[in-house]
Amino acid sequence: MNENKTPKNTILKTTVTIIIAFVIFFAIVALKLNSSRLFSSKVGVTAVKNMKEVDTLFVGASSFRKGLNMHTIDDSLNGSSYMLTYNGNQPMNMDLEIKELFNSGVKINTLVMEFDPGMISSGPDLSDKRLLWDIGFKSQYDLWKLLSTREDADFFMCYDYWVSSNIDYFATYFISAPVIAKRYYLGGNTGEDDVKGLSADELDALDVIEAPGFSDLQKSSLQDIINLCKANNTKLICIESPNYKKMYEDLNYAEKTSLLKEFLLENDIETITKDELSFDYTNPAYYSDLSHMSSEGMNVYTKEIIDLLNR
Amino acid sequence: MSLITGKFFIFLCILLIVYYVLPNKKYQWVLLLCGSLFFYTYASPYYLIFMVISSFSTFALGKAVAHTDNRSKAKQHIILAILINAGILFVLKYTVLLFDIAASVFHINTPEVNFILPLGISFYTFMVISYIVDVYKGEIEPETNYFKYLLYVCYFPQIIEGPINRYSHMKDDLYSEHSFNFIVCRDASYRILMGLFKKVVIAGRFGVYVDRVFDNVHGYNGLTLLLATVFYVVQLYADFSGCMDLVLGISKLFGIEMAENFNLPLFSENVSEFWRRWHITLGAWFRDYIYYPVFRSEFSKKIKSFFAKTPLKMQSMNMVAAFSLFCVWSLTGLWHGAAIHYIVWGLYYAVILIAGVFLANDFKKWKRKLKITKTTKWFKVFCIIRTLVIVTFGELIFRANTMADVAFIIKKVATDFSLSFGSISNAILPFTEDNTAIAYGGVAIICELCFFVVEYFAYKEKDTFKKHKYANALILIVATLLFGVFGESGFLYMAY
Repeated sequence: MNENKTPKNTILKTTVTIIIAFVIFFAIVALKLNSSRLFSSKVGVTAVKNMKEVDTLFVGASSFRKGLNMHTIDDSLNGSSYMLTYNGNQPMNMDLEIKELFNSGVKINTLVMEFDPGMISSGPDLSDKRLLWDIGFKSQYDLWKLLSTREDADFFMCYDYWVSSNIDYFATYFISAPVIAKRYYLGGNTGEDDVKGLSADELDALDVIEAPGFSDLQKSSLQDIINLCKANNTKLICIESPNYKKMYEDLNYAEKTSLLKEFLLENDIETITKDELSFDYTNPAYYSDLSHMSSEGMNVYTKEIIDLLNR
Repeated sequence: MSLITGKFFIFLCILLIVYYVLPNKKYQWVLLLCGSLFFYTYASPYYLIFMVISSFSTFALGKAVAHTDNRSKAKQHIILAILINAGILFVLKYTVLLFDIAASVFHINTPEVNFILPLGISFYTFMVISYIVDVYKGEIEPETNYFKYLLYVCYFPQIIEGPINRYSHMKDDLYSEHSFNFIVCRDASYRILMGLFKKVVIAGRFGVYVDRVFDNVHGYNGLTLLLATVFYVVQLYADFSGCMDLVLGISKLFGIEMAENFNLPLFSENVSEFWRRWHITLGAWFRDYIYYPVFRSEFSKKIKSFFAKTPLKMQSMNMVAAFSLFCVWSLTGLWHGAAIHYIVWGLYYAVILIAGVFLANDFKKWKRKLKITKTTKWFKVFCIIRTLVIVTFGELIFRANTMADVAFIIKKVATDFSLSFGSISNAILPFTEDNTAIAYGGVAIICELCFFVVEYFAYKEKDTFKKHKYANALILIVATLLFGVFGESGFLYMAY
C-alpha cells in the first residue's frame, strides 16, 4: 500500500464519515422502532391506547373496515366505539394488538372480533406494516419471532421488517400523519368514498382461492384472545362480515367456516355468522369484490350490526 | 450474479484483495480474466460458448486482417467476422420475432423456439465488431495474446449493461500494473455509493409505481397514466445511470477507467444532443460503425446524385443524412429488443431527427427573426422542456407492453385528465395501493428532486456539491440504507 502517498487525515475523514453514517442510521431506526411511544396517532393501536377506555372495540381486517360505517356507529351505538383494523389482519396479529392494549391498561367493555374463516389457515404473515408502527418494540420482536419461522424468511425480509417498514411514514410524519388520519374516522372509513358494487357477472368471474385447514398458530392465537378477554372482563363477540355468496361455494372456505364456528362455540363465545344475519349476501350491489362491501352494502350491514349490539 | 447482491460483494472483495496483494503485478490482468470468466459462467456455463466464438473469431480474423496487404481479402475477413457475430446475435435475439411475423403475415405454422439470450451478448457483440473494424481501419494494432483480448471482451463490470468500450480506450489500463491507491478507491467507492442510491432508492421506488400502472393500464385515470410515463423516464435514467456509476466505480477500484455513458442528458436542448448525452457509448458506436459508413457509402453517393438531378437538389445532402439516420435508428430500435414497439420507438426518433435535419435552416431563420441567441435563457428552458416532452413520449412507446397500450394511454390522458383532489389522490395510490402511498411517494419525489438539484448544479458547472464529498457520502449512505428498495437485484438494461 502506498500509505506515504495518502494523507492520514484522508483515511481518518473517510473512516469517521462511515462511522457517523452508521450511527445516524441506527439512531433513526431505533427511533422508528419506538414510534408507538414517541408519536401520537389518531389511527390504530396507539389511538386506542390514548382513549384509555372504549365501550365497543371492533377488531378485524379490511373486510370489516369496509363493512362498517363508523360515523353511523358513533351516532347510533351506545357508548364510545373504535375500529382497529389492519389489512390482512390474522388472529395471530389481533392477539398481539389486544395483548398490547390490555398490557397498556386499556379497558375494553365489548370486543367485537371479525369472524373471518379466510384467515385461519394462514401461516404467520404481516400484510399491513402499519401494525409495526403502532405496537411496542417487545410486540414487534414477538411478531418477528413468529414471522422468522416462515420458509421464505431471509435477510431481505428481516431488513424490510426492521428497517424499511414505515421508514417513509417516519421521514414524512408531520405531513403524512395528518393527511392519512383524515381518511379515517374512529379508525374506520369516513364513508365519504362512494364505492360502487359490481354486477353478478363481474363477481362470478372473480376467483376464490382458499387454502384448507385451521392452523395451530391461528387457533392458539384465538384461544389467547379468548383468555385475555376473560381475564380482563371483556365481553367477546364474533361477528361475520358476510362475503358474497360465491365464497361459500368453495369447499375449503365452507369447511373453515364450520371449524371456526365450532371452536368459538366450544369456548362459549357469542358467534354471529351470515346465517344469523338478515343481510342479503347474494345481492351483488352490496359488494365491490367477493370479500369487501360497497357503500350500499356497508350502510345496510352497519344498521343491522348496530341493532344487534344495542339489544 | 447481479451487482447489488451479497454474493457479488463477497466476490468483489476477494478479487480486490487478491488483485492488490499479488506479488507479481504483471499477472493482475490474468486474475481479472479468471474473475471475469467466473462471474460470467456463474449464471450458466452455456453462455461462455458464444463468448468464446465471438472473441476467437474476431481475434483470429483481426490478426488475419492486420497481416494481409490485400485490402479486398481484409474486407472479406471483416465481413466474415461481422456475419459470424451479428449472425449469432440475430439468430438468438430475433428468430422468435421473425417466426411471429411470418406466422401472422403468411398464416403458416412456425416451430416453437425459445433461445436463452447469453448475458451481455448485445454489448460484447458490438465491442468485438468495433475491435475488428478498428483493426481494419488501421486505428489499432491487433492484440497478439488471445487471453488478453478475451479479458477485454468479458471484463466483468461492463458485461451486464456496458458501457460499450473501445479496445483502444481499455487496453492500456486493462493490462498494466496497478498499485493500491486509497484516494482512487475512496473516489471509486463514492461513485459506487451514488450508483446504489440511484438504483435502490430512486429507480426502485419509481419502478414500483411504473410496473403497477403499466401492467394494468385500463385500471387508471389519465393523470396516473401520465405520471407513470414521466416516472418511467426517471426510473430508467436512475436505473441505467446508477448502474453505470456502479460499473465505472467498480472498475475504478481496480485502477481501470472506462468510458462515461451519461452526461446530464435531462438538460439537453434538442433530441440530437440528448442522444449524445444518453447511452453515449451506444450512440458513438452507431455513429462510427453505421452512420458514417452508410453516409460515405457508394449507395449514399447514388442517393445524393439522384436527388441532385431533381427539384430537391438543395436537399440532396440532407437525403443522405436522412437515409443514414433511418438505418441507425432502425437498428437502434432492433438492438433494444425483438418486439414491434422497439422498432416503432426507433422509427419515432428517426422521424424526429430527420425532421430536425430538414428543418435546421428554417430553425436558424426563425431564431434570427426572434433575436434568439445561445444565451437567451427562456429559449434554453423552452428547448430543454421540449426535449423532455419528446423523450417522455418516446419512452412511453419503449415501456408500454403493446402498441395498443400506447394508443390507450394517449387517449386516456387526452380525455380523462383531471387535477381534482380525487384524481390526485388516486394518482398517488399506485406507489403502495394503500394510504401509505403519500409517504412512500413523498420520499421518492424528495429523493429525486435532491438528485435533480445535484445534476442541475453539475450542469451549471458549480462546485457546490463536489466540494462537500464527505457530507454527500454521509447523506448517501444513510439515505440508501433507510430508503432503498432491496431484494430486487436486476437492472433494466440487463434485458438488452
